[in-house]
Amino acid sequence: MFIRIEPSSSSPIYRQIMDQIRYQIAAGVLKPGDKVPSIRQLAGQLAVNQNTVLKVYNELCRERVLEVDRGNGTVVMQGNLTIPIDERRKAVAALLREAVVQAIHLEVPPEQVHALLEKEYQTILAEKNRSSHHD
Amino acid sequence: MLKALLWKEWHEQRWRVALATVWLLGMTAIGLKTRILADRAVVVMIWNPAVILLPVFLGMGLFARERKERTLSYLIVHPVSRGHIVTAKVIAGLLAYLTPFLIGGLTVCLTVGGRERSVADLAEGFAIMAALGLVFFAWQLFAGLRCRREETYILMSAIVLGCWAIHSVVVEGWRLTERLGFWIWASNPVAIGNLDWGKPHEVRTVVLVQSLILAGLGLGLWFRFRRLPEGRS
Amino acid sequence: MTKAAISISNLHFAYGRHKVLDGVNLDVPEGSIFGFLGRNGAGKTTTIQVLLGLMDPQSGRCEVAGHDPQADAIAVRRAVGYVAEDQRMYDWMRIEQILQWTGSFYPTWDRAYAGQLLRRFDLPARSKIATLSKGQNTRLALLLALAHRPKTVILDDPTLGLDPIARKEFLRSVITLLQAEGATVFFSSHLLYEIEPVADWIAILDQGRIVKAAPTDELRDAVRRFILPRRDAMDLGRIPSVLDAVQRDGQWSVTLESATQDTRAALTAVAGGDVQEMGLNLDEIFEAYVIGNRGREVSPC
Repeated sequence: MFIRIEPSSSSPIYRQIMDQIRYQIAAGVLKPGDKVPSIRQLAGQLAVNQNTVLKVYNELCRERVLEVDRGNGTVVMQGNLTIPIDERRKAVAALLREAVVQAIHLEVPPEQVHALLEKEYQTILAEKNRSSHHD
Repeated sequence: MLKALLWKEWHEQRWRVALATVWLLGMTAIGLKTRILADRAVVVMIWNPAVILLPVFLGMGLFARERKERTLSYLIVHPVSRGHIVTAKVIAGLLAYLTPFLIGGLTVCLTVGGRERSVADLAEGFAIMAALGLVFFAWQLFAGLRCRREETYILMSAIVLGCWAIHSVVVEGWRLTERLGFWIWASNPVAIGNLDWGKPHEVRTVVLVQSLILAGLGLGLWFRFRRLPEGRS
Repeated sequence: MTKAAISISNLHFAYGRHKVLDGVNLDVPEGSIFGFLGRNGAGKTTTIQVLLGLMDPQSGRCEVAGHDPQADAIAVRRAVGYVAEDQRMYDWMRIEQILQWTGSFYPTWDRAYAGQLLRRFDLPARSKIATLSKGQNTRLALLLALAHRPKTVILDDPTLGLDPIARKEFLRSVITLLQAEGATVFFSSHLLYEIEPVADWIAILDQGRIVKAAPTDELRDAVRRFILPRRDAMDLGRIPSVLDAVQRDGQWSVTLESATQDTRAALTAVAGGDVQEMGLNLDEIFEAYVIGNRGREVSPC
C-alpha cells in the first residue's frame, strides 16, 4: 500500500491517509478481504504518529470500510456497504461541493463539469476493473 | 564512573605527555652527553623552562579546549556530578604533569647519578622543580577555569606567572619586619625553588604555606566549577 | 489527562537582565510525542537545559520522570535520554569506545540493546567519531540516548542540519523505537512540517511563555481562517478568540483560535455577507499564534 503525505497541505495528516486508503479501495488496488498494514507498520513506513494511524483505522472501521478480522489484523470490508444510501450521498455531495466551488470560481460551465465528472468516474471504474481482471 | 572520566582525560593527554617526555629526555641526553656544562646546570637549564611551560601545555586541554570544542557541554549532560568531573580532571592533570618529571628524574638519576652529583642531589632537584611547577599549575587552573579558548588560557597563565614575578621583586625590595616579610615571601611559588636547607624553620614555613595554598586552590576549583553555568552555549 | 512525564510550573529564567523564560507552564502527558515549537531564541533550549538540571531557574518548579532536576539532577539524567542541539561528542573516540564509556555512567545500560541499535542504525563500530557523517553522528547520539532504555526522552532540535532523507529516517526511528515502546518523547524543533506528522501534542513557546499547548488534531481542527468580503474597518470586539485579523485587497482575513458555530454566526453577522472558511497548515497556525495581532489593529493596512 503506497500512501503519500504532503506535510505542507492544509488538510490534516489523518484526513490525507484516510482519503488515500478510500481511493485505493475505490480504484480496486485494495480489494475486499485484503489485509492493510498494521498500525505500527504503517506508522513506521510513513514516519507518522501511531495514534494518527489508529484514528484513521478506527474511523474507517466505523464507516465500515475496514474491519478487524481476529487473528488476521485489519482487512478491507467484505460484502456490501451497510451505510444507508442517504449517508453515502451526503458524503459524496460534500466533496462535490468543493469541486463545484472551484468550477464556478474558474468559470467552467456546468455541462463541462458533468463531462469531467463522467470521465473521472469511468477512469477509476476502468482501473478497478482492470486490477480485478489481473487476479 | 571516576574511572571512565579518568580514562577519557588520560586518552586526551597521553600524546602531549609522551611528546613532552621525549622532548625533555632527548634534550637532557644531549646536554649530559656533550659535558660542556655541569650535570646539575644541564638539568636546571632544560627542566626549568618545563616547569613554566608544561602546566600551560597540559592545563589548556582540561577545560579551555573542551569548551572551545563544545564537548564540555556534552560531558556535563551525563548522570555524573560536577564534583566528579573536576576531580577527574585535576587528578588527570596532576598525573600528566608529574609523569615527565618522574621518568626524567629516574632516567637522569640512574644514568649520571654519582658522576658529578649524588643521586639524592639530582632527585632533590627534580622534586623541587616538580613541586614548584605544581603550584603554578594550580594557580593557572584556578585563574583560567572560565576560559573558553586555549589562547585565553595561555594568556591567563602568563598573567599568573607575571603576577608572581612582580610579587617576588616587590617583596625583595620591601624590607618588612623579618617575620611578616618571610610569610609573604613564602606565599610565592618561587620560594620553593629558593629553599635554603640550612634554615629548617624557613623550609617548614614554605612547605606549610604552599600546602595550604594548594589545598585552597583545589577546593576553590571544585566549588567554582560546580557553580559555573556550563549549559549556556 | 493521564500522568505527566514532564511538568513545568511557573518557570522564570533570565541571563542577567535579559528575560528568557517568563512563567512557563507545561504538562507533557506520559506516552505522548510532544512537539515543542518556538522561533530561534524563544527559550526552547533554555527550558530543556533547566529540565535536565544544567541550569537553575530564578523561580518555578519542574518535575521530569518523577524527579526534581534542581534537587537531583543526576537522578533525572539517569532516567532521561537526551540529545542536544547539534551534539558534539569526543571526536577521537571510536564508536565502540563511546558506547562503553557512556554505558559506565548508567546503571540501566543495556549492552545487548546498544548492539542491536548499532546494527539497525548501520553504524561502523570501529570508526572514529571524527569520520562520521552528520546523519551518522545524529544516529549515534540517539543510540547513546536510548541504550539505557529511558522512559522519557528529550530531543533538542535533533534533526538540525540533516538532509530530508536522514530527517525522515530519524523521525521513523522515534516512532518505531520510542512510541511503540510507550516512551514519552519531548522534542523541540523549528521545522513545523516535520513535527506535525509525528507529534500528538504541540506546544508553542513565544517570548518565554507558552502561548498554546494542545493535541495536534485539536489544534488543526480548532484554528480556522475566515475570508470576509469587506473593505472598511470592522468591530471584532464581539468575536472571541481572534488570533489575527488583516485586511488586504478588499478582503478581511480573520484567524480564530477556536471556531464554533457561534463564532461562525457572529462573523457572518459582522461581515454582512458570505464568509469563506478554511483550515490551516501548522506553519500558518504557528504564525498566527506567534505574530498574529490578536485583532487589535483593525484599521486597514
